Amino acid sequence: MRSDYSEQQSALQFKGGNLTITTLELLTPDCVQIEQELSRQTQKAPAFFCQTPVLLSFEQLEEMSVALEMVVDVCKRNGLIPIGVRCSQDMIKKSAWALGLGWFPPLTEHRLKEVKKTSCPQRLPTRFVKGTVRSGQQIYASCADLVVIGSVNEGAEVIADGNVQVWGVLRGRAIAGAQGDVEARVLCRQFSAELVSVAGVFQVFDTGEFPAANDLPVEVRLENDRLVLI
Amino acid sequence: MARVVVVTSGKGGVGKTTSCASIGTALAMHGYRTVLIDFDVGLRNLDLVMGCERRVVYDLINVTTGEAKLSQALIKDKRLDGLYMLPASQTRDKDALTYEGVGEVIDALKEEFDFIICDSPAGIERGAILAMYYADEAIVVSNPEVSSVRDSDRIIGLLDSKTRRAENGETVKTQLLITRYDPERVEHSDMMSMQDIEEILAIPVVGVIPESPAVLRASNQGIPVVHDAPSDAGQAYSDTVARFLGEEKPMRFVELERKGLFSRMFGGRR
Repeated sequence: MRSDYSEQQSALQFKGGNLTITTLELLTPDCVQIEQELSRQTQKAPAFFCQTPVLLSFEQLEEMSVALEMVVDVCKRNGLIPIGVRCSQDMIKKSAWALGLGWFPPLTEHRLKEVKKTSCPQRLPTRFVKGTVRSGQQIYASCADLVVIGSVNEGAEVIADGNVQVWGVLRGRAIAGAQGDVEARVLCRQFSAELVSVAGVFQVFDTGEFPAANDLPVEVRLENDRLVLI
Repeated sequence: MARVVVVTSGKGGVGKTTSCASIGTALAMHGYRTVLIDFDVGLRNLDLVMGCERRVVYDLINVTTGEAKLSQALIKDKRLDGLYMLPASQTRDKDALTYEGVGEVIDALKEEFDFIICDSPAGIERGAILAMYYADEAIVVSNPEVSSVRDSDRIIGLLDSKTRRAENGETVKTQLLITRYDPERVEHSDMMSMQDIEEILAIPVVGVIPESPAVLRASNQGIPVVHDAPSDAGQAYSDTVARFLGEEKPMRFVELERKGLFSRMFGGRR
């Protein structure tokens, strides 16, 4: 009975689960600077820096490659055990493989910058629309800015390859940078939009809560691939 | 010069037909020769509200197809001189209407009448588009609630693009009629206020009709509510038509009447 059981017992088992892990977001490739900063932190909380596994993230770095083995050494000297990297850079991913470290895909993909190349070859004159844009109407300014001198009502859509300006109340949908211009913006005098989008990054407002007090002008733009409403 | 006016809304059940009947009736009371055309083919109602359902012999489609003469299809109102109606067909569908046929009928009516009031069906399909196509002016009927206001917004967009005047680069003069308004519920934020609706739709308000039992009573009796002169809705329709004809009239029935202490204390007993 017992021997049967041991024969059937498997050697290992994969288990899914969520572990909280510390991420070390590196903001510079300079190992000297990293070492200085780390040793200062170590003195503050020595208990924390004792065989602590960390994930090295290079997402904020512009550099395509870093001296990963040196970064790993710096970490180990300070009591941190790197277990993997998170980055979009191919070179770093390869270095991690060589060092026996795991790889995680980046949290934010930097594909938006690539799209920019496909946008309009030249800007056309701004398109002006006077009056209310009403439910069911759609206005598209191809390769141009769009200025609505009036309100955009719920159920209406205003779209431009450039910027969208609404001089009245924006209640409907506004889409700027429709062909991927990440510099495009949506501007309106009063904001209660259903949806805004810049270069394909969109946000819906289904709770009826808006970022600005109802009677203030709002600017929507992209910052680090995220929409910012001011 | 005859004026062609469409009464439309997008949404159903907001009071297009009721309003059409009362507006037409009030125009006739002012002495204008007025004809009401029911465009709601297949769901004919205007004849009921006007109380002439038993006198329908020929209808709009019979006229457009040449089966009947216009004079045969027109029904004279039994209460007022100079008021006529052209009923819709109950047995056909809206595809039976053609742009040419409707255009000919309206041109012929323009010879005889001062006002041609078109009662639009609900929706934004062929019937509604045909009802508005030849219009010079529009009265958009809206209830104080979001879906009705949104549908009205859609209809105003169509009035600006799908009418003959729009095709010729002219505008259709569009005014707003708010029906079933209840100032008390507006006060409690259960209902949109006149100001909110006006701001969203961005067209002038020609009238506000209060929610009133007189409206349903009148419809069921087949007497347009404007004949019920003492009623609030009747007076509101009279005011609306006066404004439509260019008179300055203050809006009534839009503010909550503050009840005095005594009527609040003894209101229940009366």
